[in-house]
Order: sequence, then structure tokens, then C-alpha cells
Amino acid sequence: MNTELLQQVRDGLPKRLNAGILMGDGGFCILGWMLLTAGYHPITLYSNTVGVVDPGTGGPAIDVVARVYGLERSSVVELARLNDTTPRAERTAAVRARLDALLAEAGT
Amino acid sequence: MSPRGRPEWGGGVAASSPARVNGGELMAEALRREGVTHLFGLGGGHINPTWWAAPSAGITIVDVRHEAAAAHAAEGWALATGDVGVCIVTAGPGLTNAVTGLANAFNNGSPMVCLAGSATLRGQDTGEVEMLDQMAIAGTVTKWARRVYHVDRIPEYVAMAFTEARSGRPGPVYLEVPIDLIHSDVATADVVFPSRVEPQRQLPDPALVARAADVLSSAKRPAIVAGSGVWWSRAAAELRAFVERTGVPIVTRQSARGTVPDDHPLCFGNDWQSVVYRADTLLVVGKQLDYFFGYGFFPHLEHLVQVDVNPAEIGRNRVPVSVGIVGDAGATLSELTAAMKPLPTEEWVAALREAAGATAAGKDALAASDRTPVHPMRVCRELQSLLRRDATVVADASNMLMWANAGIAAYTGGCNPAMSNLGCIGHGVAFALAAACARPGTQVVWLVGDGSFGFNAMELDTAARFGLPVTTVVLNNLGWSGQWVPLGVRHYERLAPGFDGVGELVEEPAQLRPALERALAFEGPSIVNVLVDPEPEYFPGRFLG
Repeated sequence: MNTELLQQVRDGLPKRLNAGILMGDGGFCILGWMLLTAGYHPITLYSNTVGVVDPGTGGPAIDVVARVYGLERSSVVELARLNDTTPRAERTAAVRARLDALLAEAGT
Repeated sequence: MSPRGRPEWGGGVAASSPARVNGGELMAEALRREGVTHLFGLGGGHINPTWWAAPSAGITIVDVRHEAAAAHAAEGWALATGDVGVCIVTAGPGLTNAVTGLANAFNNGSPMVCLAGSATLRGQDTGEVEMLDQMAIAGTVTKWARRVYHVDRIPEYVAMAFTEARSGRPGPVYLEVPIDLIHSDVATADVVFPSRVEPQRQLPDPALVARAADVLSSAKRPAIVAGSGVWWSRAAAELRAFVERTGVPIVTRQSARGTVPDDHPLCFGNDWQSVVYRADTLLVVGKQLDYFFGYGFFPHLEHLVQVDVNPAEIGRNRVPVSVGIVGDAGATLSELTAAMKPLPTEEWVAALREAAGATAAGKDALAASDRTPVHPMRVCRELQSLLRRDATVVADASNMLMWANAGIAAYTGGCNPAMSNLGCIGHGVAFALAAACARPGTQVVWLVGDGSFGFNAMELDTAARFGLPVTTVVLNNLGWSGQWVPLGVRHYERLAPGFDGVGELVEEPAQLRPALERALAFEGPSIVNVLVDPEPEYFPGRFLG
């Protein structure tokens, strides 16, 4: 697991996360934010629900995030589901707590 | 006034002598023979003879307020009808203003002809007014660009222009006639109008069709992605026949929207990501492997079968293609339908339908919201509920497009003209003008963000002058991309009375439906300015694997 990158994600989480879209006018979901933090530029994410649009390193966001962060695919799916099913007001806190847990599991 | 003393502005024109004909008259007659009924343009001295002659040839000139709109409207005509759209612009800035419209059509692969005036041949490099290397400029944004050097050859070049615009992957073409040439004349007896080349379908290789049928028949989760090539091939019937014969689910993109209606049991609208990432095999017909389709980069697929009239599109971006068929969309779909049996797709389609239901529930929740500011999904749903199936909805671009894509259904081909991957904004009003000209008596809506609205809003004057009932709905999130570059509250609805139209401001959800009803009922341009949530929640229900 790339704990350094994951820490960056947690420490820089936006105040508001969106649900269901990598990047839209209401902001990023956790997958979009993780991809942006990892260096994917916004045009690869914008207006897409699950597809990372890059002819070399794109594909389903779940798979790309799992690969880039060295996470289990199931962990990424769980994180994304948590993001999408948590009401907006509590979303960022819930996602931060899950990121804390992932980092703790990795011993950091 | 032309050298031969042509009539004053708007006076029409007839050959001063039956034995002689000028360049403009030749141009107009050549356009008539190509079936042109509408010419979108903005007048100027370099194109006057054509402008004057067109009405006598039975061609309606739709004179717009900026050449950008002329070019966009020509593309809009093509998107609405499937036929070649035509614009005419004057020299110099007339052409440079039209360049964005040409570039958009070039990216979209939309057939259109741009006619332009230019400086005199003799005045090249003298500092003559409106002198510009227009050929060099047009050459970068069209698939074919020519200048006419002999007036009697105008019909020949017009015929070539239409053939080029329609052939292969369609696209914009450019034809310029210098001012001295368009005003000159020739003996009528010396003019020859060439035979018209009828559009023809490129047939696929039967062996490749057989291989494609095998691949598709062995798939567990096959899906079709239909793109603009279906529209330009006029292949809606063939596409629908293939879908219904095989039972393969479909998503439609860009100009293919509506060729199979979104409420067809096997159609999943334009939500391509929900379908493509679940499928194991794709049949991609007339859809470029471009940005709006993830560059075709789908590593999870077992097979990708691609059909395109342009060989260069097959396997673009190094995408592995199991079977690549160069051929017309309609002709290939007909052959594939004949080569295939019904497939056992019931469970696969049911799974997609269940997933689509979850997504729809998320949309429903947003659309039902009574919160202020109004959620964009509510605007789309309220609007959709007031529209007939043959209504044209031009969703302009940028952020509001994601809401239109999610909230506006397509039921009829040519009724949801799309932007290209050029990323153009503000063009939608010209598309709407063209659709209103092409389909009189139908509802035409321009759905636009407040930023993009500013680009070509003056074209609502064109709508007013031509009595075109274009309903403009501004999804006003108070800035460019909402919070990023604020524009503040602006009363765009107040422009409408200036164009003899009606304007409505919507600040609360309850105001929305009555305002839309009044606007849609008005026989002229109307503007509904809806103040929407600048940071709207999206809807859950996406495919997460």
C-alpha cells in the first residue's frame, strides 16, 4: 500500500465530497479525489462516473485506484460505496474515518 | 452595388440577360440542384451576388447576427436532418468568425459546406480590404478546401463540395469565390451543371461480418455502442432491427441519440459507462474511440468489434480490436442482422435493467427535491415532462451537459444534437435555430449554462425575426463552473422582451413548471432563467464492480 499517498488523500480531503461522480460541478467523490492526488489531471475525471479517461493508464476507477495505491480492490469498492451511500453532511467524516482505518491496518 | 448594376439590398436578382449569368446566380442554382433550402449566413459585399440570387432559387436565407452562428447553424441543420448544411460568410473576419463552427463540425464529422467570399485575385498582397490567406485557415478545420478561379466552374466546384462533405467520414468543406469572380458573368450556354453523385453505402467484407457474428454470438455480456456514424448512414431502422433480432442491449452516443429510443426495452440511453464496464464484448458502430468514449481503452473486455466507414478509426489509440470492419453503419448492421440468431441475453439485460433502476432512483430523489436553489436534475425532469417525443433539446456544453445527459431522454433521431470533443460552448442556440427551421411546428429547446449563454445570445434576435419558437432554459449557477469564476446573479430573462419574447425568472422549485409551460406555449423566443444550485449533489447508483 502506498501509505504516503493515502495520508495525503486523508489530510487534504475536501470539506465536501460528491457522490456518484469522479468530478462534477459539485466536487469530487473519494475516487476522484484519490486519482487527482495521485496525479491524474481533471480532464481524465471530469463528468465521469466510473471511467478514468486516459488512453494509457485509464480504465474503471476502482481498478486504477487499487493499482495506484496498492489497495485491495474490495477495499476500494467498500470505500466508494461508503462515499456514495453516506448523506452529504456526514460524507467527508465517514470517508476520513475509513481512510484512518486503512492506514492503521497498514501500521501508520 | 455590383459592377453590372444589380438591384439594391433585398431586391432579388434575375439575370440581366437570359444569355448571361453571374457567379452568384450560378452558385444559387448549383445549391438548388443539391437540394439546399436554407442558407445560414451574414451578408457582406464579397458575397452579395449569391445573397441576392438565392431567394430566386427558392432558398431561404437565414441571416444571423454573427458568422459563428452561421457555421454552427449549418452544422445544426446537418445534425437535425442528416443532410448537408450550408452557410455563407463574407471575406476576412467573416471567415475567421466562422472558424469555430467549422472546427466543431470537423470534430463531429458533420457534413456542411461553408461558402465564403474573398479578396480579388488581382489584389493579393496589395493590402486590399479583407485580404487574408483564408485557404490556409480553412484547410486546418475542414476536410476539403478549394478556391474557384473561373466563374463557369462554380457549379462543378459546388458539386464537388457536396460530394466531399458527404463521402467517407462526413465533414465540413470550404469553398471560396473571390469578389471579382462572383460578380463576373459568363455566357449561359457555356455553363455545364455536373451530374449529381448520389450518396452510396460502402459494403463490408462478408468474411469479416461472419467473424464478427461469431464473436458476438459467443459473448456472455455483449453490448452495442452506437455513434454518429449511424445517423449519417441513416441507419436507425437497421440498428433497431439488429438490436431486436439479437437481443443485445444498446447505448447511443452523440448523433445516434434517439435512433433507438431511450425507452426501448433494450436501450440504456447514453449511460455508456454503466453498460460498457459490465459488458465482456462490445460492438462499436460509428463511434470514434475518443475522449467521450474513454478512448476505447477498456482492458476488461474480451472482445471489441468495431465498425466504421473510416479505416483510420479502426483500433485508434492502439485499442486492441478483435474484428474491425470498414463499412457503412447501415449496410454492415444489415449484414450482421442476417448473419446472427437471437442471443440468450435475458439475464444480462435484466441485470442491466436492475442497475439502471438503482440509478434512476437516485435521479428521482434529486428531481423531487423542493430545496432552494433548484437542483439541475429537477429542471431537466420538469422540462422533459412537458416535451413531446419529437421535441429538439439542444444541450449546450460544459457542466450543464452532465445534467442534460442524465436527465433528458432521446426518443427521435436528430432531436438531441450534441457537441463535439472540440469542447465548444455557446453553439447550442444556432443548433436550435437550425432545428426550428428544419422541423417547423415542433418544440425546440436550448438548454444552456449562464456562462455559455453569453456567447451567442444575440441569435435570439434571429429567432424573433424568423418567428422561430426557440425556448431557452438557462441553468444559471451564477458563474463559470459554478463557484470557480463567479458571474453573479444576472437577469438574462430580461433580454427576451427586447426580442419580442417572454422572459421568466425561476428562484423557487414551485415556480419552475408554470414558467416552462408559459415559455413553451409562446410562439417566439423565450428565456427561462433558473437559478440552480452551484454545488449540486450528483446521484449514486454507479457501477462499482
